Amino acid sequence: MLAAEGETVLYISSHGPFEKGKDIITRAPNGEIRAYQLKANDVGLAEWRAIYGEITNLVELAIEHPSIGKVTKFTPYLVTNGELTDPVLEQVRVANVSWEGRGISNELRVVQKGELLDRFHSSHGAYLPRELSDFRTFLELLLRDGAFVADKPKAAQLLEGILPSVAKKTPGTLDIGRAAASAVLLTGYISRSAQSAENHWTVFEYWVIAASYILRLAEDYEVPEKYWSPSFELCELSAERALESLIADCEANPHLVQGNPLVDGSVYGARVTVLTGLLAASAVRKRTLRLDSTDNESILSFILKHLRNANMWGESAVPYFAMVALELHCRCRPAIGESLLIQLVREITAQNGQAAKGRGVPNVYYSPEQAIRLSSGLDFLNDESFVGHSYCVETLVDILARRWRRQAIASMWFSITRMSLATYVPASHAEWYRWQSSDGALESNLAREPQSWAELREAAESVNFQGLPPTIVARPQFATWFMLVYPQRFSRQLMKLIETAALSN
Amino acid sequence: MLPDFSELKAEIAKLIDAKLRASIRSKNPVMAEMRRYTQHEGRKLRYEQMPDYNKAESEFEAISTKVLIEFSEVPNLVGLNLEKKLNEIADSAASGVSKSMYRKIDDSCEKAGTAMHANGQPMSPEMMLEMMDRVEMSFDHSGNPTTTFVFHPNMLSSFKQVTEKIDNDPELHQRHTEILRRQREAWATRESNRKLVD
Repeated sequence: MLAAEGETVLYISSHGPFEKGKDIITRAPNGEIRAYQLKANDVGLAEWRAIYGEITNLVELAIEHPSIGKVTKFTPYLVTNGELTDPVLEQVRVANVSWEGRGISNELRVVQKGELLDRFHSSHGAYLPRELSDFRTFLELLLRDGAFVADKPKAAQLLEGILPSVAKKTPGTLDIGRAAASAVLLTGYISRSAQSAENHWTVFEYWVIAASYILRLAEDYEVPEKYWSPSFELCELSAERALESLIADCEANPHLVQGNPLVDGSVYGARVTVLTGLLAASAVRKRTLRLDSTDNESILSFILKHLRNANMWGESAVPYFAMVALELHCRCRPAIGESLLIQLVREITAQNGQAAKGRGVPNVYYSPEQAIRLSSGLDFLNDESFVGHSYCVETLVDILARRWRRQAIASMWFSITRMSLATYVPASHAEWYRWQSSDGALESNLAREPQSWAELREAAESVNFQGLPPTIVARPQFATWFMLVYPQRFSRQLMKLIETAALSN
Repeated sequence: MLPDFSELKAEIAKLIDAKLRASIRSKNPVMAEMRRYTQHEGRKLRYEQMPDYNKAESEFEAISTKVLIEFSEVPNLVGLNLEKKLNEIADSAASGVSKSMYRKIDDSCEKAGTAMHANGQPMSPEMMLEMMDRVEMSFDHSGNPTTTFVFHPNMLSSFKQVTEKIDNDPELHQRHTEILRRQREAWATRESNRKLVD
């Protein structure tokens, strides 16, 4: 809501060292710094006494945050979704007089239920579920078991139903800002059950989807960044928090077993793949942003320890492995990463080549769950075959060619020529961010027979970013997450973008 | 509304859909052998064609068939009766799919210059040999041809006569052997090109 009203969110509490009674710190459009303490339910005298220490910290302690430095003059707010009783309002008045008498001019203000509702409605009213189908989708996501994996198609469906799109109508720039803020709000709701269950992967995926749909808005309407970037940054921040929590979970559970151990073996390999990929992405992202990270050593140890247990459930696992290989390359262990990529190409070409007998490796459109269902015989009505093509081999060959792995590629080229190399090309930049694009073409190419190594090298080195949305080219750090959450967009261009950003440091 | 049992019916519909698809494929032996490819996004397919890697583009084509179910049929539309109905639908749909498939093959052959027209003449050994000469044939590792030739069932007897003539006439047999030898060599060359060079 604050973002929708034009405030730039500078900080959201994770109960860390910066907190000092302030849950949220923002900069108002007029430059004023504001600090918010959030409370639930009504606040009577008993509750006021219980929180008085926090309120004193909120008002009296200076704000010290890397993004704004030291600030002593700011406006503190106590916000509640309930109401303050009259005696408490009197206590607030007296406290303000007392603070002023002591030379503290940060007057405490209060925001209660009624005002909150009015502001909420004027900020988000236009972009909340109103159509019955949107509302049903919203409720389904809201009531979804927090331990489940993210329902990405449904989350995308909700955002597409609610956010404006060129096909529907042309809103003003301010409306775009509000729509972006509403995407944040709705994602906050739908990720709440996963948040409560500490299901950080699901929370992470929902925030990346929300961020992607905000970029879609930006591409659709070419609105100045200032209108949507606060909301986008909130999504990024929330995704980052989820990822940090996941990393902490990995440290706390070194066995990586979760839930019922009797059936955990069926999904253990996929879990390891996801975790190694996400941790690698976290390290690559920090490298891309040129941030120092204390986690890097533990991430490397984690990858080296667990990688042998990772498995490829289908081609949607490839982006995770590509991220691991890139991180290993950055950490001077290129041979392990490249062997991993070579193994992937061998496996896909063996199972999807023309001579293959089975149904092949499930393509990038199959999530880990869907692919495991298929291989376990649970999806017995599905007769899709994946033999004859691959969505990932071309990109993997590109990476290996950039690493000068000529012998390895030469040994696999015969098998590579026995399948078509598929890529989906969305018709527009905005279309690129949709979970399921409708406007675009599936491009199916054939490996050359014979293929010149020099030309292959040249092609791999000269992959450019044309065709990628400018919003992602400007944010390679976001691309590291996007590639894992949207495996269907794993492409030569996207991989080269991430690689270039990570290796240029 | 009347009680619909819609969730259960949706599951049964999925089962029927899977059966129907399998049945449609099995109606046409060529289609049963062809590779299938499911496109998950977009409305177009762009692909390269051998031997020159020329780009081609195609869009989806809707193939529909009319299904008539009388109200009086519904109470007994289970078990064998349902199987029979599905079979009728599969027959009709398979015909539509086959027509579309052969039309696409015809178009591609015309474009590639590999089409041959008999101009109303009956099939002859010369025609058969020319056809074998024009197509790109594949072989297994033992050197046996793996290419499939598709004929309309009405042509089965004339096809048998033609193959008998080729087998029994020394000159035709010699030409047939020569074509196979050339095709085998061409295939071996193509296979040896599946490599990385400087």
